Amino acid sequence: MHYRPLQITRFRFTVLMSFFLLSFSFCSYFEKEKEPISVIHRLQDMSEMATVEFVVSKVVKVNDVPGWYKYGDRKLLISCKARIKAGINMREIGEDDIVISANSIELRIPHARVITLIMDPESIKEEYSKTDFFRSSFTNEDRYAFLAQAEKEIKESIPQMGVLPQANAHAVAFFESWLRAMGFEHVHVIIKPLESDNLQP
Amino acid sequence: MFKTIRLFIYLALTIIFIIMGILVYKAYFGSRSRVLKIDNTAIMVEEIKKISQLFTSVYYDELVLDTFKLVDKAPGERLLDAMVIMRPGHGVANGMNYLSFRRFNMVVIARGRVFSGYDFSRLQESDLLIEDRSITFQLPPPEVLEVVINPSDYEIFIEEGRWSLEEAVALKQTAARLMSHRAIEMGILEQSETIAIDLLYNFFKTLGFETITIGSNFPHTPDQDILVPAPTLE
Repeated sequence: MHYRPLQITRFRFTVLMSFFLLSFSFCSYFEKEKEPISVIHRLQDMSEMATVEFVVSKVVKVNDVPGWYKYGDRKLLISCKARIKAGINMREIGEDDIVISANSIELRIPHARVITLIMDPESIKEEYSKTDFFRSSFTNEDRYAFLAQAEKEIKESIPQMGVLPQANAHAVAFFESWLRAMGFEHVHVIIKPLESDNLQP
Repeated sequence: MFKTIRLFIYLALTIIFIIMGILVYKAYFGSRSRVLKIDNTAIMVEEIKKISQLFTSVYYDELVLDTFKLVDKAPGERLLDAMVIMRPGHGVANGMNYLSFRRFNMVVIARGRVFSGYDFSRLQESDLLIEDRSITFQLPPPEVLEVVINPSDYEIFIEEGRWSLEEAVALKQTAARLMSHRAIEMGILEQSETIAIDLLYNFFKTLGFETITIGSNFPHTPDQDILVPAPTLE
């Protein structure tokens, strides 16, 4: 019996290699989550009346320009939104802060503070991403590190946004309407002076 | 003839070295974005809402979420694996799965806070009744007001393969849902009710009311009354 030796021509080799390389890109997937492990948990009391909610948006812009030893750019744009809730601590209203005489009442409430700052997961969207051949793509670890920087910037810019004055004004309006509903004719709600730096959530 | 073969070998080796060089370069200098700073962009205030929510309880939790996705191996990759698996004594238990899919893991650590309390914007006029020195106040049902897992609370511990931002965000949403359920299981709503009743009772007492009744809409077990009256002042 005569066996013909397997001959791989240049054309066949090229076709095989092309198929081999191209086939890596045709992938589909499914994913599965496992039962989570809870590490710590703790329940705590609080008594904060939130009176204002600010919705702010920010575009996270990353431009990874190469240094002398790098070649190729990486660019990323992520849009995100954050919700900031601010209000007053009800536990800080003591007996001394309420003065009643006949149908008049004077109520002193504490200065507003930020209660929560949340970056909505639904609002986080990758708008644009570009990675040159010599660079690796951004990982989620990278993306979340950038989002954490954005979160810090939003937190730091809260005093400039006017969140707390709005929260104070709404708190005054809220208590005035409540106290009027309770039958007081002359209502005077005052904001106590700010005692400490408690602006951050 | 030999000269041509030698030239071909040199050429092949040069190509291999170039490819290896690119791979090494990408591995060392391709990412390195930990020190990268984001560009300064404006923060736009989109909306300002007047709300009246009483936050009464907070639940702190930390979850480790382990997920994976099975990616269909490409035919070429399967062919290579088939060559490995067909070797005698390879010992792969489930040969077909090994051949078909590649497993990519992602492990995240999510630290979060679940806030619960009352949304007073749900109150109606009939929920507050006042007669002389007595007050009756009907609380709305307590609810989870916020689940906060911010990017600074979210650590991606293991990330194998390519995961999109949407997939990472979806995992974060799962973490938020789980934390919310765990907080409810831990009794965050019951605690909210207790704190709110105590807080409002003391507030109304300070305002000079003598008879204070605070009702709750929280669904209790059948042997408990739905209306939970606060202690009456003597």
